[in-house]
Amino acid sequence: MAIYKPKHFGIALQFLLLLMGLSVQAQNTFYELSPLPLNDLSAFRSPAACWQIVGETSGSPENKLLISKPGSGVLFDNFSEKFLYKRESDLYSVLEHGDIYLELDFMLPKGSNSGIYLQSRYEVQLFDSWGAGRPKYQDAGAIYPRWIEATKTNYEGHAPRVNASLAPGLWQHLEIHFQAPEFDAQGRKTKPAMFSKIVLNGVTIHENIILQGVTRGAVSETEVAKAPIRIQGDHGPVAFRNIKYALLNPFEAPLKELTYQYYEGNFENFEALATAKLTREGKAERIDYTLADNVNRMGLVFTGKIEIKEAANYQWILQRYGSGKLSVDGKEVIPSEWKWIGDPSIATTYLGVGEHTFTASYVKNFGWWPTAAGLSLQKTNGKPIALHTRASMPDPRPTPLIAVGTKQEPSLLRCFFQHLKKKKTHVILVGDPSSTHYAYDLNQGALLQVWRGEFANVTDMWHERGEPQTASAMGVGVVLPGRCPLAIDGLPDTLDQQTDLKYQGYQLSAERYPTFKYQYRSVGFTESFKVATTGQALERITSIKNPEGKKFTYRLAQGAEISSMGNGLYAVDGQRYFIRVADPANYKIVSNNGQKELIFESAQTDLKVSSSLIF
Amino acid sequence: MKTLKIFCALYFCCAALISIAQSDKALTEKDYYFLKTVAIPEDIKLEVGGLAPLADGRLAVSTRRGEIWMIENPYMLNGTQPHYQLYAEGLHEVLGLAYKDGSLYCTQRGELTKMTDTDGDGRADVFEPIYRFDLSGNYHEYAYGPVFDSKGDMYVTLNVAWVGYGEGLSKWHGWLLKIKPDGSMEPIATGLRSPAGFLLNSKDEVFYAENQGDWVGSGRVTHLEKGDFAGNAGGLNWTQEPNSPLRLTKADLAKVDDGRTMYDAAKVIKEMKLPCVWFPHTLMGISTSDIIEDNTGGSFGPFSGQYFVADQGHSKVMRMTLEKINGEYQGACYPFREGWASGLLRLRWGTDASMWGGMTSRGWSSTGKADYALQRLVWSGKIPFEMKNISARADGFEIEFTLPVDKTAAKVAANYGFASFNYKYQHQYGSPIINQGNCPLRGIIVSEDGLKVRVVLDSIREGYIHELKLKNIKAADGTPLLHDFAYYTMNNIPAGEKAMLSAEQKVSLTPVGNPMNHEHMAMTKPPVVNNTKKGKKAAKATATVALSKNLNAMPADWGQPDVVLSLGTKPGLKYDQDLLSIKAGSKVKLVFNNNDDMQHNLVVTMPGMANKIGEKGMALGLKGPEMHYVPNLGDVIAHSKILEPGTTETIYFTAPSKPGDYQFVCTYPGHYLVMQGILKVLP
Repeated sequence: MAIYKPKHFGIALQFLLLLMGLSVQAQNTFYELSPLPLNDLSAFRSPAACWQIVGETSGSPENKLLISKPGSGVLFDNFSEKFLYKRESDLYSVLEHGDIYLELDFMLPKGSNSGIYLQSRYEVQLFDSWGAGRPKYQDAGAIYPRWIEATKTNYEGHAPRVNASLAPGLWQHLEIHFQAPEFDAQGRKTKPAMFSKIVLNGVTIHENIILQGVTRGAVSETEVAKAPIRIQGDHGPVAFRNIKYALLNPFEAPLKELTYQYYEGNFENFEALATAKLTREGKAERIDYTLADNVNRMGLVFTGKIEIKEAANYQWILQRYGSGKLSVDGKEVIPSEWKWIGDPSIATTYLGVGEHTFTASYVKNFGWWPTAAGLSLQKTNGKPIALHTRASMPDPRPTPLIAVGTKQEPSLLRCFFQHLKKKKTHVILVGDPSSTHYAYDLNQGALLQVWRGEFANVTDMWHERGEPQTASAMGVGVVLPGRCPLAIDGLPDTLDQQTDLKYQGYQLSAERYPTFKYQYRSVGFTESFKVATTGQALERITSIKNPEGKKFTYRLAQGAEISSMGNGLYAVDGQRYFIRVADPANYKIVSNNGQKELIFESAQTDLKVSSSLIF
Repeated sequence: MKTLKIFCALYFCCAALISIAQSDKALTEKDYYFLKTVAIPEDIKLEVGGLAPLADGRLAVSTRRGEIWMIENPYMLNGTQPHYQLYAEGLHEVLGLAYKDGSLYCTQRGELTKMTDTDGDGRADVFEPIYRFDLSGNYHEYAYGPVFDSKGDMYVTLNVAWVGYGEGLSKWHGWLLKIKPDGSMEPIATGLRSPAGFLLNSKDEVFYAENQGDWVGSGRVTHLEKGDFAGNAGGLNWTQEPNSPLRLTKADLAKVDDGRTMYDAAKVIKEMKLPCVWFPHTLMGISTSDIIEDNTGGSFGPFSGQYFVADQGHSKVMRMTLEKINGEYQGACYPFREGWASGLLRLRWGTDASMWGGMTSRGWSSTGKADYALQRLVWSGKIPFEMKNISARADGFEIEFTLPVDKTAAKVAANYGFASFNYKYQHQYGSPIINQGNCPLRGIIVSEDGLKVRVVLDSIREGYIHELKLKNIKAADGTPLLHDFAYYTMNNIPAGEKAMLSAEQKVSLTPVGNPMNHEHMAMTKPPVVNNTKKGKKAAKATATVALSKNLNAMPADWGQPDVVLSLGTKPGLKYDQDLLSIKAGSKVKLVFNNNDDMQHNLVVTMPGMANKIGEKGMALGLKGPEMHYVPNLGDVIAHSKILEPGTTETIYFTAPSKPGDYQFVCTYPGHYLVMQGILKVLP
């Protein structure tokens, strides 16, 4: 008869819930990133006069220019007409790269155009595609097309999967995983270049796209093993910050004399394993979970040597379901810990040239999860080498996508929703035909997230039992603090749903838009949302009935910084999103709990407050 | 003229033959109650959670995908088609629906919601939260209802969370709640684990169906009253709330959590309410769902005033009768109608006294293989010959039949078999059958009109479930019994007169060697006391054969297995692989891990035999659990025992010498049709 161990099962189930429906291929992307220094222009070769180092840039949805403030940390192309179409306006890094991981923040003003050329040859387009609808191969994040001069034709360009642009004047984030072409000793290309992944503002827009040749406007038609990063500067203003990279170099580290010991049984921990009776031992080629007969109740210990050819810092990455530990050269580097494979244990050791011994141990004592035992070695920014067999780590489960789309009328979806590492349980998502959607916490009367693109991924709700029951946003968006805008007596972080805030339901308009109704002590209010015609802004209208004339605060925005851009436009949280109000004179920016808040104070008995969130 | 005469003679001959053939053909459930299927548009995933038939002939249906569909013309009169219109969307898994005064009320995971169409366009515009349920984010915290009582108040039940066992993580989960239209809430009873179906009968009494699981030995129906504790510990987390009607805690259960019967536990735990009817696991379903009361006044057959209970896993509806003994409800359950298209979750009466069944099997596979379905059960107008009602007596039972019984057959003692058994009350998942014993028949009294048979028994036990099995009992017109077994829950043995038996009515001590008695003896736990050599041998043979195919230790002469296989289970009645391969004649070590949250086993069979072995496993009846549902057949090559969730077993066997596509199957009742795989034996 099963006797359940509560302490493990509680945790086990949490992770089981995370795992269900997710395609798990634990891709190790452990990089030690190097910053491209931006306190001067020394990281670049002979920059043209338009390139400057500044402290800050800002913009607005309408401004074709960026405004800068002196200082350092931001690379700014202060573009003007005289630099238009001038090749020398492009910026080349001193650094030359082959395989590389590159991430950066960029800011474009309205209508501007730039690009990142990997190896100065393969361009990822930067473009103001805000409001452009369905993107093409010239839009933001596109892999720019190749060019046939003779016929003046573009070909093999790749539009991004979705339009993941944010508004001009906001900081946007780009991640590029690039593999350089490979050549043999005679210089013949043996493997083409590839963008293994490009992520724009958190949305994956390309994955595993092979490039058969350089893109249009490359510095040369010839492909090479190493070349600088090139940033386009001849088409309009652009700013960059937080440029970080990892040069990915392959390495070899052969395994030697690997042996295993297999213990069959239900072991509470490694201490129990130490006194257990050995079931079987033998030689192993690699770490292999399938050497265990009972893959769910066992202990496996692998001991062997690894040959290091270059003295450097190396990361050991231990993955498993259950307990695992690792010692290297007799010293424990990963102590015993109970984890799932999406949460690897990583230890850094300095390894000199020569042979090093290691012992990797695994214990599993429950049947609820798949089986896995992995050990990988990575030279900092090398490609990790798997020391385990392919069978020893599970393939991702082929779960089909279940999504709710938009239609002619708004789509509603109540669900569980992850917000800032918390699972919120009384959330409604509203999907608009214009492709701008929002998530609203019914328990707090708070906007959690807005996004643009497809509506909701509900695989985790409707695949089999749907154990996570979470829906997630499909598209580019902004996560918000999740606080009720209305506050009486101070600005609390959360409201007590029993005593303070009472959710009273919602009513659908003739066009099927919801208006949410609340009673906050003696103040009643309703909230409704409208998407601006082009889908680029979410308007929020709060209608307040305050019969007792109580003094209340309306909190419009909250962030590390809030700056006024003039004309009722505010940039929130360091240019992460904008808020626009028609009556800025009524608002003030205050400090509260280490944050800045944009607030409006009133004691009126009947009032409508409206604002737009632009992103 | 001659040809015509011959022709006529032939014709009448044929007609006579045909009519004889028809009267010889045994009638089945399908002949008495017809299942009508409602077509569902291809793009609607009608995973039914709630049903509300409306007086205007429409049917409102709520789904697990958060939609409320209004179906017009669901009865498809005169061969017309149903029409679907979306009334509401975007709710969070709606498992219950009710109509009242122009609005639809539903339970979502987090809320009891009132929906109203204020502008008359056929779609809800106003969504009011009547009551909000606390949630932890655990998927198992379902909400069911509302069901209105005669005063206009609503009842709702809430599932416990699942963290490897049932836990009341969020407030009031594991409870029956009463909620008034103004949203004020009164907690009524707790100890609920998975209360997917419950009923308010015509007297506003609440009955709910429970599912086998932790603290719950088998499915059952319990009558809930204020302050009751129905058995599962999860909800006890909330008994310290100021408005809780009981103060029982989990710690209080420790003194009875030792596998004694629930009847014995209830003597110590005063708040514990015994089920009024147990539904023995796998014999009477595996996941009891909804309950409705037959208030059709005879339009649905001869069971007026009785109850129907649905089963999700076995896609069937069963029947239940109740009586009050010593002021408490107890009664019996009977098979009724199998063969529904998917997993039954919701039952409701239609306007024409037909029975609506709403179904879904996503996440919990069912015998009916459709992912979801909507069907309606209609009475043919023919009265089936059934045990209509079983009533307890001080010395046995009185069985009332729907039609007069053939008195001769009814007086044959060998046509009856009675036994009683029980389940453990414990925190572990489910329970084996325990303390089985026969109830020897002492007397049979058949009533003058042939409608009632009183059986006088020895060894009836208070607090036990009694099995009644009838064989060769026919109606006076020769119709066989449609269903020939039932289970009566004897929480109280009624006081009253013991029967005065005439000589004719007395049953002599059953002679040794009587086949019926022999079978009963086999139902008791070993060691089997059997006076016949034949019986002894048979019993021993059974034991030896069964064990030899379940080897948990490697045979000493093997040295090493030739191959080690590893097989697990995953949710939805599946093994984690559907193809295993071994070489002919090889020595196999097979590690079987039950990773699911239900019981399973593994049986290796000869090619093409999986279904037959599965069927026979189901037919083992009360013997099933001790045989691990593995029938004693030569087509079984090797097998595991029934494994509790999260446990493992290793078996050893030698692969057959003849190559071919052998099979492996789970013979736990209700699983075999979907839970199978191929064991390829290679040359």
